[in-house]
This record gives sequence, structure tokens and C-alpha cells, in this order.
Amino acid sequence: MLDPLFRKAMQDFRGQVLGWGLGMGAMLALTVALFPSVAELYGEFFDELPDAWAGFIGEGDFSTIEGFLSVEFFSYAQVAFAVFAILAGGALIVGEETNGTMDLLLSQPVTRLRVAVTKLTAFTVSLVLIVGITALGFAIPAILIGEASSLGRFANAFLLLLPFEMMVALAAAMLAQLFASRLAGGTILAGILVASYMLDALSGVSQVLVDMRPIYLTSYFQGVEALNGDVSWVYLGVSLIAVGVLAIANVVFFIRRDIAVGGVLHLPKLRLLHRS
Amino acid sequence: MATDTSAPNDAPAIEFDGLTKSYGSGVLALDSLTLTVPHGEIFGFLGPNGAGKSTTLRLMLDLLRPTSGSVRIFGIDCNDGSAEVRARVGYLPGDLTVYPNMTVQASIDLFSGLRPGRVSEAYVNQLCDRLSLDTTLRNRELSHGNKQKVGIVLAVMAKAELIILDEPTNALDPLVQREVLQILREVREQGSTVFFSSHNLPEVERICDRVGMIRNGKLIAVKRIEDVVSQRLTVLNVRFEEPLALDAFLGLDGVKETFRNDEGREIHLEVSGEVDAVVKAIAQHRVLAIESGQPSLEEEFLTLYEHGVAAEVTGDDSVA
Repeated sequence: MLDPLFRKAMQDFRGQVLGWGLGMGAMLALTVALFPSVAELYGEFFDELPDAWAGFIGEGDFSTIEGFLSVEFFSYAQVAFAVFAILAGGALIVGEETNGTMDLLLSQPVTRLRVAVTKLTAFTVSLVLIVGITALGFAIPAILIGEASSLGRFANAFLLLLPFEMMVALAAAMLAQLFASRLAGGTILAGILVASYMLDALSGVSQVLVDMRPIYLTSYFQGVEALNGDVSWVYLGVSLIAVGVLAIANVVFFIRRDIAVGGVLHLPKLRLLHRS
Repeated sequence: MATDTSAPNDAPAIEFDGLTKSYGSGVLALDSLTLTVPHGEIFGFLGPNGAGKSTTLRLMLDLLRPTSGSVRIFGIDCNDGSAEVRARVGYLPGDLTVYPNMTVQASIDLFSGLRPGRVSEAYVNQLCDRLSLDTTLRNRELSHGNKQKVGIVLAVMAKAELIILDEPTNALDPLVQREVLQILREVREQGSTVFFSSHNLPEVERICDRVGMIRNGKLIAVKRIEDVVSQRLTVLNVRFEEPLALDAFLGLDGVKETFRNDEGREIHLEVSGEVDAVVKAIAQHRVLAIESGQPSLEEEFLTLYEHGVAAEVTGDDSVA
């Protein structure tokens, strides 16, 4: 039988899974369905754009589905999914405290470790489901328009959304715990994300901005690179390490601090600091 | 030093040992609480709002971490063996929020699922019937009082060895309050220990064996309930047909303070403990009106201070 805590956590994500998955999937399906009719038109349009402008929008070969979706979907998908990741991540642990339900939950014979790990697992499963449903929004129309040969590369691109969005969500969860506020954590992270996105987009027109790519959060999504077959394992490795470190940090911090009641959280004193 | 998390059979239900909690802002919420509660007792933890009652209860549940000192439940350190402790404890939080989108029944099922084999469906149904709780409603649709009923069912349904309740009768109407107190008596009869906070002294008097009084984070008195009742202050305002001298009441058992209004037609009396002698003296005269009342908890505390009971907290009464 499914663990009751996990079942509850999945129920909490049910609406978001359906909303984000079906919404992004439908939008992607429509984009893919339009590909055969707009590819040539877009190609001519982009050929006539000035280099700087084309660089900002994102250069792509519009005669292929990979190039088309690099610009028309994967250039912004990471940020769109990051909205979900920031909202859900920020609420992952602190949400029950601000709602006031954590006291009741933690008065049951469950450890904080179990609560935290269950919530992280439920978030991960939900993210996989959202990305999976979205991927179906690509796969079904792609098969119908005869672009099935590219499914493997796209599968990689979709898979690479997972470590990036996990990293964003766990960072949001950590900031929310540190600031004892979902809003503060989410705002900080959203600011970093938007700034990264803008600078990353502008890096197409300036070498200086290209050199700064390692500090852009968005660089750590390698989906577009996966479509071109040149994934940076360094970026991917860093994001995977960040996911691991942030997951552990979130759990350890949650285990050691006081539980807030009604959103009022006194900044924590770690147990190690005040217990002999 | 390694902490022993094993639970000796003869350990008291609750042992506070110098338990202190201060927050980063320098607020001392609980100051060196030392107290022992034996098995099978109903212990009332009484204090005004902000006295440190909820902090104490949340420390017992390991929701807060002590700054110093410790609390052990059935001999198990609440910090190091928190899940083991909570398996033996039912808890009603003070600021109760139950998942708003779930029905009452789904909430009961969720929390029963976390205590496999410990919750009897028949007992849950009985509790819901007694509290007139409609389990088909969503928690967000419930009134404050009905939410409190849900919290009480969740706290009591597993018949835990220790029931910890933070102001259990809050927002409940008098009939339901009486039913809740009856339920607590019954769980005690079945062997559970009950530790509950309140700022309502009459409520505590009706059910508790002992009462601890906390003020500004400090335990100032631990009394057997008979002693509390015997020292209880009753305020009487009596309007007589004819003016009376205060001499009629001075010197009677328990009379603490008197004064006259309206040339002696109205007399104010403060009586500590039994009012029998005073009532009999009043009955000697023609009475037009009589009002009686209890002082506020804060006034009760001051009375206890005046009686020097604060010193008794370190005496035998604080240790079972």
C-alpha cells in the first residue's frame, strides 16, 4: 500500500501536474503541428534579420524540427517550468509551516527526515510527470507529421529539464527555509533566473557575456545543446552536484531547526550549536 | 555524553528538567522548567496568553529545540527519541490548522494511516457522534469550533498513553466543552495521562488532579486541585435593603477584603476558599441582589503570589 504521507503529497501536486503538464504539452503540440507549414516562412524571416537581433532571439536552423523547437520551445521552456519549480519548491517544506499544518503532521510518529524525503520525492515524481506529459505533447504530433526520427534527441532535451528544474526548486526550498518566507526565497530566485535569462540571451551579441556564461543560472540547462548533440558535461555535472548538495542541505536544515507556527519562524539555532 | 533513549518502565509520564527556551531575539519564552507528571494524572498547565504554555507543549513534541535542559516522556528524551515519543502521544496544537481541502474523514484516515493498527474505526465514530462532527465536510468549510472538534478527535483517537492538548476547549460551546472534558476523564480512566494547557481556571478545576501555573515563562506554582479550590477567591457584590456595617462580615472565615457603597446598602466582599460562612451571614439580612464572580487569572496569580505559593514549586508538590 502506498505510504499515506507520499499519497497526501502527491494529491497536493495533482492539480499542478495536470495544469502544467497539459498546458505546456498542449502549447508544444500546437507548435510542433505548425512546424511543416511555418518552417520555410520562418527560415526566410530569420535569414533577413540582422545578426545581433537573430543572436538575441536565438539562432536556429528552421528547416529542422530540432532547430525550430530550439527557438520556439526550448529557449523559454526552462524558465516556464522554473516558475512551477520556484512556486512548488518554495512551498515544499515551509508551505506547511506557513499554513499551520506542520505541527499536526509532526505530532504523528513520523520523523522529520521521513517528512522531508517524502516531500522531495513527491516533488521529483510530479516534475517527472509534468515533463513527461509535456514530452507527449511533442512525441504524438511529431510522429503524426513524420518527425519520429528525432525522438531520441528530444528525449534527452526533456530529460535535461529535470536536473535544472530540481536545482531551481531545491534552491527555492532552501531560500524559503533560510528566510522563513516563500515569498522572499521565490523573489530572490526569480530575480536571479530572469537576470540570467536576459544575459544569456544577450550573450549572442557580445563575447563578454559569452565568457560570463558559467555564472548564469540558465546555462545549466543543456536541452538546446542536447538537440545539437553537444551537451556540456561540466554544466550538467555541476547541476547534478548542486541538486545533491541542496537536497541534503534542505533535509539537514529542516531536521535541525525549530518548526515555525503560523509562519512565524525565529531564525534557527542549530542543535549542534547549543547542545553539549 | 550519549543520551539514553531507552524507556524504563517505571519512568514518569513526563519529566521536565531545567527546560529553557529562548529565541534569537533574546526573548526568554521558558525559564528552567522543572516538573514531574506521573502516569495516569490529568495535569492542567495554566497561564495567561503568552506565558509559555504553547512553547512548553511544542518542546514536548520536539517541534522546538530546547536552549538548555530537557524533557523526557516515558523516560525517552523528546529530542533524541522524538518519533518514538510521538508514537505514544496524541497532540492537539494550539493554532490548529487541518488540511483545508481534505474532508474530515480523509484527515482522520490520513493520520490513522500514520499510526497503523492503533486507531479503532468504532472509537473514531463514537467520538465524532459525541462531538456532533460531520465527517463528510471539508475542513475549510468548518467553523472554528468544529475544527477544534476535529483536532480533539485526531488527538484522542489512538488512545495514546499521553494526550497533550493546547487549550482544548477553545471555541467550543459549553455543552461540547463538557463532553470534551468527559472524554478526557474517560481516557484517563483507561490509563492515559493527560497534560493540557488552559487559561481558564474553572475548567482546570473541573477535571485536573494537579495544576501548574506559569507566568512569563516561569513555573510559579504547582498545586493539587483541592488546594487551589480551597484558596480560590470569590468576589461577591451584595445589595441589601437596609444599610449594614462591615462588622457583620469582618472576621468571618475566608473574608479578605470588604468595602461599602451607597451608605452600606451595597457591600463588596472578597472571599478566599469556602463561602459558606459568608453566605450564611448574608442570609441574616434582606438581600435585594447578589452577584458573584471569579477574578481574572492574572488576579488569581497575584493572590497566589501574596500567599507565597510561588515558593512551593520547588517543594514536594512539584514532584510526584
